[in-house]
Amino acid sequence: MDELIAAILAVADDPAALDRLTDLADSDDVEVVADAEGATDAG
Amino acid sequence: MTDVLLIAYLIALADGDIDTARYLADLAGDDAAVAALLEDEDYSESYTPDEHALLSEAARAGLTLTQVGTHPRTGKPIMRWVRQAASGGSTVKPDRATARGTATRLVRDGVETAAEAKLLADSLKQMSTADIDGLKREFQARTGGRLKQEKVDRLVAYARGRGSVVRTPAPAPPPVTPTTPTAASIEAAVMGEVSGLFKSPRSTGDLIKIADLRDAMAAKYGREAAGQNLDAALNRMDLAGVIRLVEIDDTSRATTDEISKAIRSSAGLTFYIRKGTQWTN
Repeated sequence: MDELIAAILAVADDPAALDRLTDLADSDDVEVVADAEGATDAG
Repeated sequence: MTDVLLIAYLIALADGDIDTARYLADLAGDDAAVAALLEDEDYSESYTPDEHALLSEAARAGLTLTQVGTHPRTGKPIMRWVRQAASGGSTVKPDRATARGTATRLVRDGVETAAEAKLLADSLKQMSTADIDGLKREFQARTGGRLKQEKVDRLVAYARGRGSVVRTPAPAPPPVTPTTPTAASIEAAVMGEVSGLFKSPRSTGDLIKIADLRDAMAAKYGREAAGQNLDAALNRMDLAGVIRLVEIDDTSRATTDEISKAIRSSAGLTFYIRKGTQWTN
């Protein structure tokens, strides 16, 4: 998924954000977050 | 302002980080500072030529003039007097070189698994800013405008702690509504239920209660199939010899519910079913 690579590169300077993204990938929720309307406003 | 600074400036603005944006804007006028920030950090000591000129002879010992990077705007080599790290040797640490190679491969070939995503992230943590920027340019060249930016934005927001996993609830299964058997099929449905009841512990020897059959039909096919349609089907099956309807006179051992669900006629109370001579199940 190129969008995941793009997101990883975009937060490459932030180890905590990198870990959060890789944890997301590990839980197979990448598509859930990427596709979820309003997901970014929910936190 | 260099591309790298501009991107950093825009990201800071997008994040609402005004202080960082101001700092980056101020930095734009200081090429030396920018170059120093972007240079590799594989050296235990690093001096600009002006700084080197101020050092004592003893302090200069072991320093070598080395290209530590390329100026982001002019493209000219950035030269520094540096002292190699204790491990010495290469100007780039082996683990960093490995990380850069791994990340380059993953960005070029794509990330297919969670393990590869983690490997990419771990590799990036070991790389310099300049290397990462180069990787970003390579990735942009590969993907062009094909990325779904809104997806990227959501993932970045999530990673920065501004989003959460919002699962769309799975659609509820359609309600199971009992299907009333047609007139043609009700006898087959009744046969199926009668056969099942004969095999159940509730069967009393060769007899099953019509009340039990009515309950079973109502649960599976609905109230309509358990009403007069059932009575008519039982009468037809009795006439055909498939089953025999059994009437009782003594209702003392029957419950009120069982009696209400039996078939009352002028002949009496039809309470049980037994197998007829034409029974084949």
